[in-house]
Amino acid sequence: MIEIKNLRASVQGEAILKGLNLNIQAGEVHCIMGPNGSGKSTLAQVLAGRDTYEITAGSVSFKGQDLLEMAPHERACEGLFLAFQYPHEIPGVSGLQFLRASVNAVRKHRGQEELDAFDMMQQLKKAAAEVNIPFDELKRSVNEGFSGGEKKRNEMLQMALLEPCFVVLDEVDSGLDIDALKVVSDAVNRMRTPDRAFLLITHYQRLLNYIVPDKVHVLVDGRIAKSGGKELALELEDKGYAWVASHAAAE
Amino acid sequence: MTELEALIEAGPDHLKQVRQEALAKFRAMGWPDAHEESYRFTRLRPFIAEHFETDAPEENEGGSSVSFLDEPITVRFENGRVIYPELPAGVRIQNWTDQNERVGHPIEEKSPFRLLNTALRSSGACLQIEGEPQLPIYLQFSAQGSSRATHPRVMLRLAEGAHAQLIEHFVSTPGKAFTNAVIDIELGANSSLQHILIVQDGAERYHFRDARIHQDTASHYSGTYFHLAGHQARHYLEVNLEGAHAETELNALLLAKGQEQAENQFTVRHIAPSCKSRQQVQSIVDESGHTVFTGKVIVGEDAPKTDAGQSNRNLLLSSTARADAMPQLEIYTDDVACRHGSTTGNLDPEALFYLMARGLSRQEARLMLIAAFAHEIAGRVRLPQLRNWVDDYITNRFGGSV
Ligand SMILES: Nc1ncnc2c1ncn2[C@@H]1O[C@H](COP(=O)(O)OP(=O)(O)O)[C@@H](O)[C@H]1O
Ligand SMILES: [Mg+2]
Repeated sequence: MIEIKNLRASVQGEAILKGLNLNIQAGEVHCIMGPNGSGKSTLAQVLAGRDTYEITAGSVSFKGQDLLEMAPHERACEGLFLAFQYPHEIPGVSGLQFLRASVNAVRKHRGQEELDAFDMMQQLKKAAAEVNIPFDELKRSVNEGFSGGEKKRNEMLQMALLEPCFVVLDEVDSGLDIDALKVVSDAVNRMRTPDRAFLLITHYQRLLNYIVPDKVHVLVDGRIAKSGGKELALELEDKGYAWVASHAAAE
Repeated sequence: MTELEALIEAGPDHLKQVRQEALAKFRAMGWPDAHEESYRFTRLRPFIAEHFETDAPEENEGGSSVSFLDEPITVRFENGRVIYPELPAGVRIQNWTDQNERVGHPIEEKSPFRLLNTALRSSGACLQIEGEPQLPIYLQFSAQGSSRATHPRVMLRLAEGAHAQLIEHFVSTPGKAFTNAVIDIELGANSSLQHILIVQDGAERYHFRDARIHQDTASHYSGTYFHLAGHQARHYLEVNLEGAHAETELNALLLAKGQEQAENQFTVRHIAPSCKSRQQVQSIVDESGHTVFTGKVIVGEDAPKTDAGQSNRNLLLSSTARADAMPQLEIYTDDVACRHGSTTGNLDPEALFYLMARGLSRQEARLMLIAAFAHEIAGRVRLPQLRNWVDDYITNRFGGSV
């Protein structure tokens, strides 16, 4: 699905990603853990095409295409979905208007017919119910005045509607209580199919009790310092990130 | 005798004297000086260098039909003539030639544009409204042709307790031309007016406007103004809150693209106590466009418990776009609440990225954010068709730019 080779990225001249390698196959769920500031969100944003980051070396192949050559909306239309760590508020654009435009943009790109008003409404209603968002909430401006939990559920709603094949979830668990965490992880687990891949980014092991990954990687200072199975997350919880950092330095 | 004097000579007898006085005063005063504070940003020199013929009233073909209203009471001003249908009870219209009051006293007048309008006005009407006409009153000013000046003039008076909706729509053809409009509005006690102005001028038109509103006790004025297109526009507006508990709400959206300049000069005078005023002025500026907003609030010594607010937001879409904002506050009494805020900036890059990350192209994302910004003003229009018409206009106007 996605193959990242020797990826280096910097912001304002400062290197953040320093030669990152990662390979995710269809059907797999990978998890990246790492201390604050290690570059997790930078990786997520670079994959989605945020232009504040400068790519200084490396390549990313997505379904065999050169991802780094694609505009952000082309990546989205091709099936890459980033659930943002801090979903942005967009005053004046209603949730409904936003979802309609985005669902139809993606459908058009994929050669599907645009949904008419009735079918769209049916889909939105069903998807909103699945993530516990009252339909009327969608008439409000996108994310405006939403709580942290509401914003994350809104990201899950968009994910379900856009039917991506590769999903990056950036700290989707941060600031959630147990109920919200359950809603969010159910939304992800419902999407797990053999033709989809997921990259979970998290600071805490807790999320992995709800979404069980196939592989866990530890990101330290812009590089994958250690990779392993899901038991690596427990070991990390036990020994802390410093353990991996010293381990990596020793290598 | 010059052609202007000849024009006055040919007009109605009872107006000759006031028109001649106004013309004489205009000549003595001349065009404003670019050094005058209130004309600081106005591009006067190219305008003054132009030559325009003033129209005598003449026959004209019918105006365009309206697409944003069902069946308003339509009053058309076409290069000098006023045409209107049979009127419902409570609405009276007089042609300006029949009206001999409130033409303004040239002696005291300080605005050269208003003086020129008094002297040369080519068409005008005096509307009086009682009760609550069910339909909005739609004034359509359609001017055609090049190198011509039109000086339309409207007087609107709402009787005590009357409620009405007024829509003014200026639409003109491309050629180089000059509109010099004057409107005076008097709101009786407990009356209310919803007033919408749409200026949709040709690409080379100069549009100057002088609007003055007088509000009696507990009257309510709500004005929503859209300056959509035109080479240069200057909208002078003053609201005089003369009766206690009067309220006024001014909303304006200015668009400027290419070399266009659009200017709003608003003055709200709190003369009586316990009045409330709100101003919300937004502009969208692209290419080398320029917008100016001067918002002056004067709170007189007899106006305690004044509640005044002003907000100005400008969206700049290119590095050569420019917006100037000058809030001015003069307060001569205690016990007032006055707020103002002003922001100028580009489209929010985080919002753009968020929309693009959901499949919208840069162009689509930009348009969605521009439309949302414009809708903050358009959304205040209570006539749904008109509101949608403005939304669509914005989408079309900015749909082509990347
Ligand atoms: N837009 C930006 N401008 C400046 N510095 C940034 C920007 N984005 C990230 N950084 C810096 O890059 C480093 C990694 O940040 P980030 O990727 O957000 O880490 P994480 O998500 O792992 O906590 C931090 O030192 C952060 O300050
Ligand atoms: Mg982060």
